[in-house]
Amino acid sequence: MSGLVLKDLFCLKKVLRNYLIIIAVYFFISLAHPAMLTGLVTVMSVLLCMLSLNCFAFDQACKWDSYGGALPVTRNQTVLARYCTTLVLTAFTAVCYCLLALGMYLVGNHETALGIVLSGALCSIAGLLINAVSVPLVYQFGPERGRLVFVGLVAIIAAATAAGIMVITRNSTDADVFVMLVDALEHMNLALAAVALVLGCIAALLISYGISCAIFRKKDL
Amino acid sequence: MENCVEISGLVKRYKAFALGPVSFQLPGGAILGLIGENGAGKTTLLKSMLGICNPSEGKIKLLGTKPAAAKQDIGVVLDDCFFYTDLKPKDAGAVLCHVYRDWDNALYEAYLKKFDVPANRVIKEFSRGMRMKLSLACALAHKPKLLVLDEATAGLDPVVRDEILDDLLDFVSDEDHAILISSHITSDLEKVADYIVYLHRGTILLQGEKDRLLESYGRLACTRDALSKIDPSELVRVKKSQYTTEALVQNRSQFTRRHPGLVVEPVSLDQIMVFMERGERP
Repeated sequence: MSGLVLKDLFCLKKVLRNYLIIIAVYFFISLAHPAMLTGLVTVMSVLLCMLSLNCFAFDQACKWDSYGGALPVTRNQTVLARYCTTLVLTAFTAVCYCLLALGMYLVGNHETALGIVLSGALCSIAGLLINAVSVPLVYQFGPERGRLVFVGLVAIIAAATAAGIMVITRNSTDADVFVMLVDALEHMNLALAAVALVLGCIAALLISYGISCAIFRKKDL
Repeated sequence: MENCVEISGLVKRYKAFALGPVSFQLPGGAILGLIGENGAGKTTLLKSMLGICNPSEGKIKLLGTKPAAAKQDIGVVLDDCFFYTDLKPKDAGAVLCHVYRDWDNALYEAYLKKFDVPANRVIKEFSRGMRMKLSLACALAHKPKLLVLDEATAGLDPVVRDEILDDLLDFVSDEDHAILISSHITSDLEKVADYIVYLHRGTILLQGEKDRLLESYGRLACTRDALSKIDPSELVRVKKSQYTTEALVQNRSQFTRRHPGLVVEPVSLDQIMVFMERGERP
């Protein structure tokens, strides 16, 4: 299975290099305005985390699945390798933004350092959740249609959420809603919320892996 | 001698095509050539055998065990090179050494050198022939016992093809090794194959030892008048054109004894295929 992760990373080498160049340029620009670093980390975390989805397109372009099916790896291992690639990229991103945060901390910019770690962690979790939803869709529909279905799904969820909020707050003014949100955040147990978010993310990935395996096992490659 | 491949009643159904039921065996130390027209089901058969497709029915035993358990000892070359084209052969080696337990990197490099495949150039710069040679190097570098080759010699020049065929013959000199090769280049199979399975529209039309098949079948060229005097049961297929009448006959020697005035020539696999595809039943 590690061979398949390595294969994904080899395929992503060029894209990864381009991303890192963009990130480096953005980093040097941000040095003049450290507050911009939080934005950089946000973009970097989501982009790198979702990079593994590109591997499906690479596999399709060179018809890897047929060859991969003949290799001595089970279908579940093949699916697991794809999730591992995502986790490797997420870990790499985490190392990057932690180093950045450490740099900020050492130059005395503690607030920015905290902002970098928090936004990096949140965006990595968001990226993993996006993967958890989109990977089974890509296994079912292929890389192109899968992404379209994902975008459609996100649009439906966003519309439903917006409609729900509008119904709940139909008798309140904007100011009331703002006060409600601030109040909710102040009373939230942040440590518990963070643990719940991480556990939720792990659960989502496990469920996603199970669904992807079930889809991939039945496929003729 | 143990069978390296045992397939019995293999069926694979698609919406518009069905393969099988297909049954055959391949003993160790032998090469089986799979022939058939485009779309006959050769690739479907190989893919079903290897678990790339899920067969609808049938039993498959490779190297005495289930296909999944035998994959470490199977080398596969499908009809193209399936590595992402920005990768280099040395990257392919780095990937596969984590996949195959018995991967031998020195052997892989030796094959790349032998086949003139540069290890440090990206695959997208390779010709089809070079890609096939890379695939062959990948298939051989983990010292497999069974080689499954799907159109592996297609796109290669005659010299390289000849070299590869010699390598294949070397490979099966070990009684534990066997090769299953599908090819449109029947002259290659005539050179190396011990057995032939001829697929036509998803079913086996002919199968057996290659030498016996080639000895048994013959091409009769005669006038329409002479052909009309032959019992149709003695003919397998008949091809008539404005100027020529020819027929494929089985049991060539028996036929010649029965019809001493008629000339029956030996046939090639190509000719048998053309008769089967384009000829009419008598």
